[in-house]
Formats: sequence, structure tokens, C-alpha cells
Amino acid sequence: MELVAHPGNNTTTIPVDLIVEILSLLPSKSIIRFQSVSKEWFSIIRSKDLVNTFLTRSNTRPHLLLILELYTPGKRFFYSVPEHNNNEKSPQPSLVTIWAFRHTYTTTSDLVLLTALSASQIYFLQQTFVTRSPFVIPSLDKL
Amino acid sequence: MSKKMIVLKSSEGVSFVVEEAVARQSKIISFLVEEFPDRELPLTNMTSEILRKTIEYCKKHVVEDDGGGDSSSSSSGDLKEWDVKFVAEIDQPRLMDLLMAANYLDIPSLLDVTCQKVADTIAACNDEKEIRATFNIENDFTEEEVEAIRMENQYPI
Repeated sequence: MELVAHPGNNTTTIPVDLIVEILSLLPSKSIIRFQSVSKEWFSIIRSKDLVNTFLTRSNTRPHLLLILELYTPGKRFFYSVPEHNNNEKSPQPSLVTIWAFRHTYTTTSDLVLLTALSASQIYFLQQTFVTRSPFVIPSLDKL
Repeated sequence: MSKKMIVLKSSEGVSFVVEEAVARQSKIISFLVEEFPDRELPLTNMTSEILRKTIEYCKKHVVEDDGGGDSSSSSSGDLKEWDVKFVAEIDQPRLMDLLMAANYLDIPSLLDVTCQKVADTIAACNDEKEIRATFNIENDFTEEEVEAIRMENQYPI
């Protein structure tokens, strides 16, 4: 009886399913820049499998998205806040990314515009994968 | 009850005597032990070094699983810390070998920590060139193809 699989040496080739597993652990925004690593990675990143993994994770981990437009027009800061749970009283928002947007928003089915404060142009959006119902965000004093 | 021992043999032919409970964290070994009791299990695709590492991991986890008992919350935190340290001390090529070993032997928790470590390594890379160098991946794109991908992703909306 022999157990034979991949030879263990420095030129280990990782099977595709493991690459999918590993890439799905990365934030979805960062893997997009890894498309040009190789053709294999390109096809994995573009594949339905990986997209599905991300969608499943979004479903199970609802987050609030907070978008701020500060002094530079066209620069909007995206913050992601974990939704309230009983263990953490005040979850810390984390900066998702800074994207230069053109001046229109497309509101997709998973994003709902809740509030717009004209003065500092603060927009609240929520991903509603799970409940599809709006969530009232507590007042925000100063940023 | 005396502990049953099983023998695992690395690709170099080195034998490792391991408690059955330790080895059984691998689903494959667990299965083989039942199918072929009292036999040496040759792991021809695993070097002694990697096999030793894998056993070290399994030993740590079996001890914690047994002894943790009532005060499990603090010990599971310690175990997580231990896992992080365990993979942090391994260099890149060996990490890949360990990942493959975890995958092959079907040790889910070890696969999780090694995958996470590889993902962290990828995330720490600045660009695709660094990833290729780190993981020894050949660039099979032409200049034009790379440019086309870049153009396509100019507006990440």
C-alpha cells in the first residue's frame, strides 16, 4: 500500500481548489489586482466559484457601508462597519478603500440609500443581502 | 488503557511512532488505521521535516482537545496564538509543503491556518511581480494581455 500524491519539494504546485480556497480568504477588493499574476489566477479570480464564495460570505456577514465625501470632489471614503452584535458594543469602522467616483451613484439592489446630509455630504448605505429592510443608523456627531 | 501507537514513514524512510489519537486528526490516517490496523503507513510524498512538523501540530492539538475540558475558552485562545506562531516560524517553501500535507492528509484545522498564512503572504505583496517571485509562478501573459486587463479595471466600481 502506497500513498502517492504530489511530491513534496520546493517547486510544489498548488492544486486549483486550494488556490480558490486561499484567494477567497483575501478581501475581494484586493484580489482584483492579482488577476495578472498568471492565466491560471486570472481564470480563478474571474470564475463563478470564487464569486459565489464571496457572495456567500457577504450573506452571512452583513456589513454597513458608510461613504463620506470630504473636501476633494470625486474622492469618497468607504467605511465598512460590522453590524451590531451582542458582544461588541461599538464596532470600529474600518476603511475599505478610497475610490474616485464619477458624479453619479448607481444604486444596486444590495445597496440602499438611507440618508443624505447635504452640508458635509454624508451618505449611508446598507447592504441588504439578508433582510432587505432598512436599518436606522444612530446619530453621528463628528467625523 | 494503554495508548495505541501507529507508525508513519516519511519519503526518506524514517519512521515516526505516533499515538493513534494524535494521528487520527488526519481523516485519511483515521481511515487507513481502521482499514489496515497494525501496519506501517508509508507517506511517500512527505519529507521527514514536513511530517515532523505535521505531527508537532497534531500533538499540540490533541493535548489541548483532551486537557482543555472545562476551561476551554482561554485554552482555545492560547491554541490560536500557538497556531499563529507555528506558521510564522516556517519559511515560504516549507509552508507550501505543509499546506499540501494538510490538504493531502485531510487535517482541516491545519489546512485552515496554512491557507490563512498563505493568504496573508499574498496580501502583503505589493504587486503581481512580487507574488510571482514569492510563489515561483511563471508569468504566461504577454505585455498586451496585461495591458488589456489593466485597462479593463481602471474604474473599480
